[in-house]
Amino acid sequence: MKIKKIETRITYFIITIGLFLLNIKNLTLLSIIISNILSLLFIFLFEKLNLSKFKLTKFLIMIISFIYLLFNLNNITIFIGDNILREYSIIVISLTLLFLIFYLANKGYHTLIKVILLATYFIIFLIFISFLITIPYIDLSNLTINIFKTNNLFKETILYTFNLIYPYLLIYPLSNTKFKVSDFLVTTLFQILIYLLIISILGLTLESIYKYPYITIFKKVSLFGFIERIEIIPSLNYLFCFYFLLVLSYYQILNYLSLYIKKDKNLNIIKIFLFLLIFLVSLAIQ
Amino acid sequence: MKKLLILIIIIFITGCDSYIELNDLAIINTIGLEKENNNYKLYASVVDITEKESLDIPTTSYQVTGTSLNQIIDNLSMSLNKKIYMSHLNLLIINDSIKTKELEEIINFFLNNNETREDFLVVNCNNIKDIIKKMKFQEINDLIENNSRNASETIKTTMYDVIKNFYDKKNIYLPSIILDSSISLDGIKEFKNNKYKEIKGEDIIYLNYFLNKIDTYKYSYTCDDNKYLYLNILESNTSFLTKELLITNEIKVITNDCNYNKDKIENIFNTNLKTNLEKLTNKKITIKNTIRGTYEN
Amino acid sequence: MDYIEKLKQESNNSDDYIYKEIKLNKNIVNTINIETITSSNDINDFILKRISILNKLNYPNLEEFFLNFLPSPNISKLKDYDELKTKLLNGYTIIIINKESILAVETRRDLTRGVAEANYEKTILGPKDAFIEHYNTNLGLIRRRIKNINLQVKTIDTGVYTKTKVGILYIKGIVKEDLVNKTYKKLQKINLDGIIDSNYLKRYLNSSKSLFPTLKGTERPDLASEALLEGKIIIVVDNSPEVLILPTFFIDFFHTSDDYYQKPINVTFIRIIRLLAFIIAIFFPALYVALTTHNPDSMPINLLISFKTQRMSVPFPAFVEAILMIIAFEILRESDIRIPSSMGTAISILGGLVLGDAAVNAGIVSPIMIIVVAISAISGLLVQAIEAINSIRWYRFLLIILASIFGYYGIFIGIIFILINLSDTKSEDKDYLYPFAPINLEEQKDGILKINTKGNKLRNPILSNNKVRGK
Repeated sequence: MKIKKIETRITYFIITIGLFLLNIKNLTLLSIIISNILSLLFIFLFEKLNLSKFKLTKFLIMIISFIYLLFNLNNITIFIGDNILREYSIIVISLTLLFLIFYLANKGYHTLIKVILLATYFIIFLIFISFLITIPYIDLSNLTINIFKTNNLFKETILYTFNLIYPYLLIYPLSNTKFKVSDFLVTTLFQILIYLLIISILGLTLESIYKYPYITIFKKVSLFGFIERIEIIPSLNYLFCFYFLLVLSYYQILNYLSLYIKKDKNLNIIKIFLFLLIFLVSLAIQ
Repeated sequence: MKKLLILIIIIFITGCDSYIELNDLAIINTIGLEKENNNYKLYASVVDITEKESLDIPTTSYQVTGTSLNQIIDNLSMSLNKKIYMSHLNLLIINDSIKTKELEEIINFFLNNNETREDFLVVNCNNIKDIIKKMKFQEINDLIENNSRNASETIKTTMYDVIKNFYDKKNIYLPSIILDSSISLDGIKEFKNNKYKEIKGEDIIYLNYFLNKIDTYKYSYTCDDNKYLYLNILESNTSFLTKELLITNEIKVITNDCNYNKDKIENIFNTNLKTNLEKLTNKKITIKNTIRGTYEN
Repeated sequence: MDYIEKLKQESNNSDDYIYKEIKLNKNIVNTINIETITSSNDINDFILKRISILNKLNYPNLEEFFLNFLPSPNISKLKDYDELKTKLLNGYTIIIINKESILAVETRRDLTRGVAEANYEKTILGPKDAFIEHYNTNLGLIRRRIKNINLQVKTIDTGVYTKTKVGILYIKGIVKEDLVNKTYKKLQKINLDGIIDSNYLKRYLNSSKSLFPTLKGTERPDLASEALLEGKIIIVVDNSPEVLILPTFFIDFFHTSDDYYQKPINVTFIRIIRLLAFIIAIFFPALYVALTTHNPDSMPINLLISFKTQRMSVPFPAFVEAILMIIAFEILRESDIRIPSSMGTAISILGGLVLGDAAVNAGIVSPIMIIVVAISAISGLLVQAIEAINSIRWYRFLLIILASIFGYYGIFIGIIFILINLSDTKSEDKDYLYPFAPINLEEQKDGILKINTKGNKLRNPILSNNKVRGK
């Protein structure tokens, strides 16, 4: 099956939204806008110089994926441990998550894309509904105060630019589709919209206090007297986006390794070794 | 086969840590906190299903003391022999003895606890012990909601507002409740510079104007004996511009016994509002009104 | 060669075999037939009466006479003993002339019921006839609907002892040829003792290991004709009232033939409800277990208190209760199929009373658990194919186990697991979730939502190269 354009675009959108939600604590409006512009320039450069053909870039992508995998696995298990399973030890959660990642990444690229597509129907529906549901709780006076204030503009923009380039490196070199600026602009639009929604409901002070502000805005929703406490459904949103990010990173590593190791037996041994390595190192990083 | 093995291994590793039956939970509905001689006192109202009579949430009350909040919660758990479950907390009652330091401790406690959500109401009351024994949460909720919506004589405060105002270093306003033969509202309390100050009566309405929290309220003016001018202010908006305060009102005339015309009504209303608002701010105040109802032209 | 002696030896002088010898003017004509599968009226009419006329005439070449003048449309000349055996066992009458030339005349007895109403695929509108166990009738029911010369059949006899006739139907201009050839080769490789029913073939034709079915069986000729027109192939098996449709996609289990006889907007509503029922059937008990044990903060407080009062008297944990109720329901369902209708009502009352009132009053289960399991079980029956219903059962169990260990996170794991399994299945090398996972927006107009297109909708591009309908 050929990977169609629409499927790569959807994957790109989901991964970018996932990265945005992960990093939302370190962002302000100015840094979002500037990082988007900078990363767009970088991607243009990348395309023009046709850097994806070199072996070195493939190696670099693999190393970056590895680092991402380690840090984000940690982040995601802490998210689950905070919001969903509060009494569990981190080891169990990260072990089960790693098994799931391993299972899907081994099935191949086509299955991966299909799973992402199926989950996208749900994620887009959720994002749409989340805007509708939380609109009554918007308080416009929150938006007027110091919305462009930043703590450390340089550091934030550099980190976030890096985060925005990464989805491009994950997805477009693997599939043979061209990068279109419209995909990128759609993700920028959503980032700005979601950020403005969060600020207008919570305000700048509360947004900096809470660890997961996107979930906190759903804690305020109370419709018709009985639809309340729905924040567990958008947390599925979080889980899906992060999970697919991790699976794609893991798949990149496996892809790179399978290019250079031809025998199946050796590949299996290295896969198991990789699994254990990631598990232990991510625990140690804590 | 491999998948089954992995599943079985995982089942045995986890040990079902966070599995808890509903009957082992002590669902806390209301908490009352006060501080005496460097000791916190906690009054908790826990859901108790043996006495279920009506649709209200049935509760019984408990009291523990301790030096810090975490210790209190542990003591409460010991006395109840169940796991304390605070996710469905609906109300927090605090005393005049809770000052800045204690408030910070309380806020940190709630923020660090994963289970609690900060959407519960916060009120002020001086007689916490009796109120927790006698009250039902729904009553207080209805009192505050009804009043803040129809008479604008109280300010509905949730924990989100308390936290926000605390960190922004603004004043915190809490509705104040007293217990006579039944529970009733008694103005609001303003927490400013580590002190509580009472505000009662009409002053609350003007304060609400200043905070842009007016919903609807009614204004009455006596022109002669037994002749009233009765206005219902439906909507109001305050915008803080750089040099002035712009207030827009939508007013409906209900009774106009003295048969004033529109300008006179507006004049009466505006002078009243301006004199009272000038006590709160130095800025220039401009008021725009749209008046409907019966008046002579 | 003495065929009759050899036959008598091999069949061990079995009673069914009837041997008749007729002498005609120095010619000896033997007829052999098996009484139980041939109709004696036909034999009398077609063969014996004619032979008695021959006595008066004096026709030199008997074989030519029989081939030309016996009033039967299906006479053939056989070559050797093996063909004699196959034709004899298929219900033909064998005529041996002078112990040399062998002829076979078709005189089969009709041992099947007439065309009746559909048993389990019921619809409100539309035709109601159904396939029966007779191969020719089934083929006829389809040929009545598609009167085109491109509707072609490839037959093969499978099964060592049963020699069941299996036919592959396809429409030549529409279907992709390699699908037909591949299926034919797979059928040729079958080396079983016997094919009793078309469902035996599922194991050989079904190439994927997933829990979801990739083959659909149907008993309605209108569904079969629609499938043929889309570019699928139909496998008809003798003695089986079910035909198989290849390849089947996931979305076909949410379509019924009723959908094409009603307005699109009503059809959209019903299909959304079917999809909802599928999701409820899998997730509802698991969601209940997860929310009451691991994540009670997702429920409003009134529900929480109500559940608490109900669960106070139950001695089991929620997970055990759920599994007990599901097993009880499965036992009820199975017994409902097997029980003869004369005992039906008493036992169904017993089942209802026991599971409903008595269990709750005795304090073994809580009422909310019965409601949850009942809703989930009934929603699971909305899907039309039995194989799909049975596969839902496994996922329901898996999700309850995961939910009771991991809570809401377990439901997430379950969702991902189901999605991976669904995306991984292939039906004859074509993706199982066709209009949804490799996206094709044109095909999705007949997926869950039914949207009218202007003009004719194009054919499914992975099933057929001939895209435009009406050609």
